[in-house]
Amino acid sequence: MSYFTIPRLAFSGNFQADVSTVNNDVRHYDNATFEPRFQNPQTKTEMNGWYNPDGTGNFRLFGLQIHEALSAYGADPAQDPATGLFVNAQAERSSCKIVDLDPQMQVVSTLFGLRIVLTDGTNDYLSGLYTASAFRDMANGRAYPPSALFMSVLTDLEWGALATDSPTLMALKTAADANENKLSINLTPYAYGANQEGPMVGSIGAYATGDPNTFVAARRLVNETGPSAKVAVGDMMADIANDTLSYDFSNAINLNSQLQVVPIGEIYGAILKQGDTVTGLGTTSASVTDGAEIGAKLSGSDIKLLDQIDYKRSGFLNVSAGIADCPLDANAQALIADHPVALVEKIGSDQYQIIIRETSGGLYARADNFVNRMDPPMKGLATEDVRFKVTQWGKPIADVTIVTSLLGTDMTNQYWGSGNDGPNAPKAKYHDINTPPKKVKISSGFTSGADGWASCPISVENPGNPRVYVDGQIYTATYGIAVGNASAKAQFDLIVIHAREAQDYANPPSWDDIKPFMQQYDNLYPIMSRHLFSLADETVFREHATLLTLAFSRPLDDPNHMPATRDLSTSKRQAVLNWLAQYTGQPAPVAEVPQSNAQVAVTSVDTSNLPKPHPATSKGLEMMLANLEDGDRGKTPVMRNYLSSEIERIKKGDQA
Amino acid sequence: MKIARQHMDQVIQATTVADILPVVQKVIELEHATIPPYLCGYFTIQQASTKTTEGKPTGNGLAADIIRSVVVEEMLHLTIACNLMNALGGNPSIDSPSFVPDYPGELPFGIGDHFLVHLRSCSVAQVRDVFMKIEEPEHPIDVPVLERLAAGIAIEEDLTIGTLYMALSKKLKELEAQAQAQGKTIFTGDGARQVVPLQWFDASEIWAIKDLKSAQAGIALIVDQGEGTTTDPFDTSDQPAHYYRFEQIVEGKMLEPRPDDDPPYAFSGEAVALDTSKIYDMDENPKIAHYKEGTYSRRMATQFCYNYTKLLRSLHDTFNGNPAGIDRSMGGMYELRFSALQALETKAEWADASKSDIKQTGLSFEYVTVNS
Repeated sequence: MSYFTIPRLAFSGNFQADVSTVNNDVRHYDNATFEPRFQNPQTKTEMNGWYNPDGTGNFRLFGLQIHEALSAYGADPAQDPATGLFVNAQAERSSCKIVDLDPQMQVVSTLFGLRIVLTDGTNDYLSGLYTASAFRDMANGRAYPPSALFMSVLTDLEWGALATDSPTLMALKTAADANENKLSINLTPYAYGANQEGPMVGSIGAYATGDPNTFVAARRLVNETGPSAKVAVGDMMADIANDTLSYDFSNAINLNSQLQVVPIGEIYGAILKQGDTVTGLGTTSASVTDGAEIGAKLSGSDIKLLDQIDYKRSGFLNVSAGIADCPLDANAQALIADHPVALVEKIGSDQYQIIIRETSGGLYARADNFVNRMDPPMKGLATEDVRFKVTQWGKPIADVTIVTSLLGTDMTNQYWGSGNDGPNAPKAKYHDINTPPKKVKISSGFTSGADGWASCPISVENPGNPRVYVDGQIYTATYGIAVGNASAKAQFDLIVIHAREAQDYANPPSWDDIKPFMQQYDNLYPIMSRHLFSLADETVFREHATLLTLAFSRPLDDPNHMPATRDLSTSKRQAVLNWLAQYTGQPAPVAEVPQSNAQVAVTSVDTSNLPKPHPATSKGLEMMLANLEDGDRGKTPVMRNYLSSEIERIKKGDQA
Repeated sequence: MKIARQHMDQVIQATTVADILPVVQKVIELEHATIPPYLCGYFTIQQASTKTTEGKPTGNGLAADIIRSVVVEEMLHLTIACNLMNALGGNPSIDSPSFVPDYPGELPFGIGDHFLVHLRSCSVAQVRDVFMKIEEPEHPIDVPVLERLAAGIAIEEDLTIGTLYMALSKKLKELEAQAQAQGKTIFTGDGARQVVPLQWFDASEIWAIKDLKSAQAGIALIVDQGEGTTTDPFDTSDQPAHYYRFEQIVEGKMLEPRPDDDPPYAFSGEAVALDTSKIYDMDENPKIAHYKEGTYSRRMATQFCYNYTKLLRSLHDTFNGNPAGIDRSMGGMYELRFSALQALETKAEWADASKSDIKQTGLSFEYVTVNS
């Protein structure tokens, strides 16, 4: 069960990611070399503050409407009153924020403080809080610029009285009541253009207890490249509920520059009858062999053919959110339990070609809480368990080992858009990430239990400020399944850590203690400094002591949390609160520490004898790079850096 | 400001608390209804023009501070009125389309002979013709008038909003005395619904309303801050009452006490000269429908109204049993300011193709529950 299985609510509309772009260049964090022009929009020759320096950080949904409420396969959505409801954000709170982890980690942008409300404009039918979640699976390579998935769960569900009129909402309520009062949700934004606005589709479906919060642990169909003229569909997911197999094409289908689906032939859902061979699971010789590879041409007797995918119909994307359903008969249900799900193209009267298929051996492992904001104390450790869910053929599997590898300083420019400076580059130098490596410990290998969950303990020490003018340090680790020939992980599947810098300040601190980082915010967010008040002005800061105390003490997932970028270490936020407490007449609130109470010691198992994860190839990446659009909007510059450096890394034989 | 006779009758003739509650609801609506025109004045003054490079307030800065200070007091008055409603066991209604005036439109109670309030950029004319008119003090509060009214004796004087507030205060006293005589009280509301945000207002301005004394003190504060005393333009905290505060912008100088002169005050202080070149030229009495569908102008106008409606929802929740929601509402107020800025920075793109004026997208304060 997940956001794209039946029952589900599919919607489409628009979003605005009103990000400030002054902070897109890490060198703008250096107060000493900051120039006022960095607050101006870019020109033909100067990058300045990039394309939206006056951004608020607000992520807005608008014109979003449910076009297909589906309670059961074959039901008529027009008969369900949930069809036609508006999908609103917030309802009574400030706008949700979209936030990069760090200027040098721009591929895990996260939504904080989003509340989803389904309403007819007068009556609310359902509302729920969207658990903060980073986007995944940025897809590129087609004529239409990138899209990505914002998968999460809705909690704190409130059902309106009129929800009882909707069979789909009632089916979802029944599921939520039995499953931790949660629902599964996804938002697929497509690239934005003018005014940071772009189209979006999404859906809401059932959540199952034991599932991850930030992805669907079901059937992953692997393609190392995004969709493009030559590649029909990119990496995607399929999942089963109520005897129906559903495919989510929203982030995987090829689109032309007008966001129209590009025909890719006569496509069918399919189950491959020739199974994969999996041997030695739980041993150092674990290995898998595919029964049939992508591109293989098969006769009808080699596959269990499911329904044709009617992706060419108008509304496939805008009405159905790019989701296709294939009912499973008894034979299909039996076969799919341990055989690969695929999509095939009909190429002859009884001939089909595999255009994409499930992971080798049906094995799939992914980290749930993969983005970690960690606040070590001055001395000692901050710890966290990165939780992995491991499945085979969509079901939890035990005894699968996952190995990790901390990446090096050569990743410094992978996750941000450097290298497009124009004639007047900022004067500051940028500094490496992933160093010093000794400050972070990540378990090098760990094994799944019977429920499919595996824990990867991580810990960090106070990193100080190895990047000199920007707080803390970014560490990234890659991971993979230690099974010979297991499918390569998805692009950008990483463990990401922002180790924040601890500092000892006097209580109360002096203005000189906090001025440097408040000056940084003043520089980076001109919407505040130019249009409201200066955060770097002691008098102004004091005059707004109550307001700022409120903002700096909000939890991370409160839309009013300051700083909006959520990148300030707890000790620095506490210093701000202690300084302000001199003027509020109230004791300083305690700044929330965003970390778990994980107490698991980091142990490093010997992984030298384990099989290596399947190496990625550079071929698909090269194709994506070739198809990358020109310009610097949105994630394009980051993608350009990522692809070119990753290709170089793979060619060098670095298969970390 | 003059008010229509029927509203006064409603107070005078009330025999139960239930008769009074609709009047208190209208008071809440009145205190709110002044805020959109004032905010249009305040938000259109460009922040960059409020200070000199040395950090001294400019004429625009002083004007912005004046308007903002009145808005804050109107929000305080709204809070007091909601506390009164809750103390009397009623439910403030804020989150509804009928709560929001349709500008240009009359204020609740048919105030000022049904005079029309416009939403416009800040200007001397707008301050003089709209803001000062809203806050115009009338005759001194005349208790004998109330008694004559109650006795059904015809009166010649204009009835004012100040008189209505005092009539309300008097009626509460009467109803409470009746209740007390039976060993009861009219202040039956749940004390946990009182909103007393001491983080945002001084304890001399906001308190829980739980009995006649605290209720009457709240009403007196609204009248005092709005109209001042009957003898000079300063209220009992030595702040100019709203009318005179606004007049500073029209006179072009700050009001200051001059104890040795007669009268002992004059508009002789610091200059308050508006620099209109640094004030957004907002579409007058805007409506979302003025802007062409599909344009950014339309989007920003809608977004502003959506944020405004979110704020009403937040306040409704705050005043209906969730006092802590006031902090969230405060966040909403700052968001409204940024949202206003984004609209005002956007050139209006007209739905009416024949229109060619160059104006900035307006703040229409419409009730919009769907961000379309």
